[in-house]
Amino acid sequence: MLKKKDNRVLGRRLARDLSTDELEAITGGFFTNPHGDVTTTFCTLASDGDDD
Amino acid sequence: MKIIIFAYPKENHTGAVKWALEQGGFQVACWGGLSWKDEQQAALLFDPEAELILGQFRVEPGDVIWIRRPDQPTPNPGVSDADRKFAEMEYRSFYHSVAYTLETLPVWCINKFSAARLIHNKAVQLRLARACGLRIPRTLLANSPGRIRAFLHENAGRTIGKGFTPHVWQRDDETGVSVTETYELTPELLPEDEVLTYAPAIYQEMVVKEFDVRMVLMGHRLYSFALHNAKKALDWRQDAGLGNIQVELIPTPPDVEQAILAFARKAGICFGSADFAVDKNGQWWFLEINEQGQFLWLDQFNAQARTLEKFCAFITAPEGSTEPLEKREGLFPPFEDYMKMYHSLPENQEPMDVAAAVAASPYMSRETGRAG
Repeated sequence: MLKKKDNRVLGRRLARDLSTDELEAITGGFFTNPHGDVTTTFCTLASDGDDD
Repeated sequence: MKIIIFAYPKENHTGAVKWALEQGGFQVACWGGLSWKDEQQAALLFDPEAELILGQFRVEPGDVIWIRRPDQPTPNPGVSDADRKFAEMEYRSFYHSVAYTLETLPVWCINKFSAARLIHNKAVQLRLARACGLRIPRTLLANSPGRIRAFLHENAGRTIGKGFTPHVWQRDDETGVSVTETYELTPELLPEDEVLTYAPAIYQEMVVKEFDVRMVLMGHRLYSFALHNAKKALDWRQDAGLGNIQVELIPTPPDVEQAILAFARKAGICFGSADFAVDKNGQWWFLEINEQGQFLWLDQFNAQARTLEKFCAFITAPEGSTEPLEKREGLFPPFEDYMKMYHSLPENQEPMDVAAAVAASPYMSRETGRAG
């Protein structure tokens, strides 16, 4: 059987995996979380206003 | 004078700032951005002077507009399929008309829309930072495999890679998520050329750092915080989210202060959160700035930061004021008081629905094809 081609972007290959517990810790206490857009994404689903 | 925040009232920074401003006796209105819904409609009349209505309120001379994080312009979902693209473009054009017109009205925008759009670009940030005398790492923005390989080959030191925008993938097995972050890159880690064309990225000489700095710009004032991470992680953000860093208020070196204030003037911004890396020689290296970056988390890590009170003092002072924010920060309650109120509300006890977030957000995806 042929191996499936890995067509993931580099950023996903080298992304950081967060477990469910870690995810809950971050999203459960989002004021502690300094992520820029990711925090906003997690918590409010708002964009950063850059629509181009 | 009232403060108009372009964001939903429940957006994380908006909720805290709105509450603190109201506790201080100021009038605050939120507008979530342009949409077909009643509270997000807008009207811009020229008769012959300009009159702008956002939702239920009128923009008036002397108002302060904090363009925090408005929603994308959203047309009515009932529009004909054949008209959807047209409607989307019309909504976008109208929102731009509103946002740019604000710059011509006697109001103070934090930040001006045109400046925000310019400085959102990481390449522009590096150009301006360098022009203003800040140290920047050698950097390549590219999707050209040959250029990327050459960049790594020519780099005397170590190299990092990072994206232009953050992204989160919900994993197939639902055991968590994968989050983009800064990663170290070696020639051995580089994938085949085709993969490097899947998405452009930012490649940068690594600053071997003693610690990171998050700096908050508020008008003429700068507040710098050293971020100490016991793991010495390349990207401190996930660890901060997990509570694994210490935040210490530190002085900004005079040359860095002069340079970042010059940067702000050139960029046309009065507010933002900047990231620096400080090396073993104590030299500060500019990494990037987010003109609407997060800052209230600093108060939770270090109650002495008092960025909530300072920000409230900043946006209620006259535009361009050089008065120390510390003189008026006492008008507003601290972040810890907001957190007590926030946690007492039943709706804030609900866990986040990650699947719903993935479905609705442009910054989140469902992961497929992990094998390989």
